[in-house]
Amino acid sequence: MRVEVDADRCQGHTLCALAAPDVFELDDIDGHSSVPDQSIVGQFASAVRMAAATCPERAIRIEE
Amino acid sequence: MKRESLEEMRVDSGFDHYSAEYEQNPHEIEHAMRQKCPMTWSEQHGGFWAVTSHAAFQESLQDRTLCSSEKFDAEGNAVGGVIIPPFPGSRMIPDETDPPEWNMYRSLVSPSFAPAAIERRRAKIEAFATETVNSVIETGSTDFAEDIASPVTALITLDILGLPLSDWDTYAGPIRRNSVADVSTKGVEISERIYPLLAKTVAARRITPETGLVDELIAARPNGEALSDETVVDMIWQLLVGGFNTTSALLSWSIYYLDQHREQHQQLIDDDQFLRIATEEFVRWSSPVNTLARTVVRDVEIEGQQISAGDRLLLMFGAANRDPEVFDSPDDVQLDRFPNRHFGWGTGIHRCLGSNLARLVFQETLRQTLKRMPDFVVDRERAQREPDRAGGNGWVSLPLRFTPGPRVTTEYAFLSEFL
Repeated sequence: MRVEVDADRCQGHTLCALAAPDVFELDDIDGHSSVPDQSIVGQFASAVRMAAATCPERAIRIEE
Repeated sequence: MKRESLEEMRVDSGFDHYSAEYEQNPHEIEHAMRQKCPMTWSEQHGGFWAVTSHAAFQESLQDRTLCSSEKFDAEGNAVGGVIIPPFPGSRMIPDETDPPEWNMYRSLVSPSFAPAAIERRRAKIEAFATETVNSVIETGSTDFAEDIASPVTALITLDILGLPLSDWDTYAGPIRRNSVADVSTKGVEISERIYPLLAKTVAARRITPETGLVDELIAARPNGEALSDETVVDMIWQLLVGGFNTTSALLSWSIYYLDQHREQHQQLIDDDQFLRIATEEFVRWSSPVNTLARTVVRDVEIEGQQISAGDRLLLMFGAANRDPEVFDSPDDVQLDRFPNRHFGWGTGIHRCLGSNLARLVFQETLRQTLKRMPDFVVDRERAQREPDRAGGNGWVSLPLRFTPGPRVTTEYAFLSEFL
């Protein structure tokens, strides 16, 4: 599994980090999300799907 | 198509967000409007489209090229902005600005409200919540809305700005009273009392800086130039109005709900992840910002309705957050509801700047209240809602009774002087 956060859509709601705190990292300046390490994403598959489903901006794309 | 024939095709709702009828029966009215058409037209207050579905929200707010938030037209007339009808006086910055201006303003205030910056304030926020509860804990009764929710939010916001904490009610009082003012007098006390005080403060701090976001804004040199005093005032005003009644409304609605759902108190106290997830559900269910407006900048079709450039949209957050297409049993509170794709913090570039702060203030204050007043009871007969849901959606008064308890010492005991 791979997961991408669309930087143009993300507005820093931070709900992805609530769902999957190990996968999503929030920026110190504006709280926008990114995925620093793709290699661990698979271990948190259901939490990552939850993150994508709760993002108000639909900024999270998953490739299974 | 000619404008006349477009007007004939509109689904008219005649909706008035200031009406007593809407305040008394909001969710039935919202569901009926959404069912009729998610974009209905109303001739009230200069004319607007009422947006009530989750999908229409997404279309309206997530496309950056579709809507403007700018309050003034090229001649300086207040025709747009985020309130219908436009509020007298200056614009809120950055809420009533568009890119590229918005990018500059937002980047000046963003770092102070980012998750990491707010997390660094956790101990202080907890202490401020403790002191606020201290101010009533020995008495056995309080007005939760006025004596806890309002001051805790105001004190923490003023502390970030670097404004005197002793002035909390000088700012919070007029903002509370504005939400109960009639539409014809809304904004008057704010213009007469808060703006002059902020103008005086900014002018003085430009000469003698202190420590706070106020001073950072005065010292900022975006594009190489200082902001004018007037711009700094408009930005501070935005931070006050954006945070005060909203966080306070969220707290009051949650206490109102938890008064009758006592089986959930202990889990909210003990389980931090549950409290965080429940916070989002309280935001969805209560929608403290009930409506905001936009101006459409190009012709567009949304939900089958032909919207013309220049038309005003009234975005009804409470309605979108109860759209049954997206939320199961939308009128029910399900504290473990997750995923929870609500728009309670807004969506698109203008989404709530202070959400991380609001969450933490809410969580610390709620936890203190549940822990230290475990047997609180809301006096529902005397509880008083705001008279309309046009903008915010809060409580004027939420009286509680509880068994008195002891004060808890913090290093901010001096706050008791003004609480």
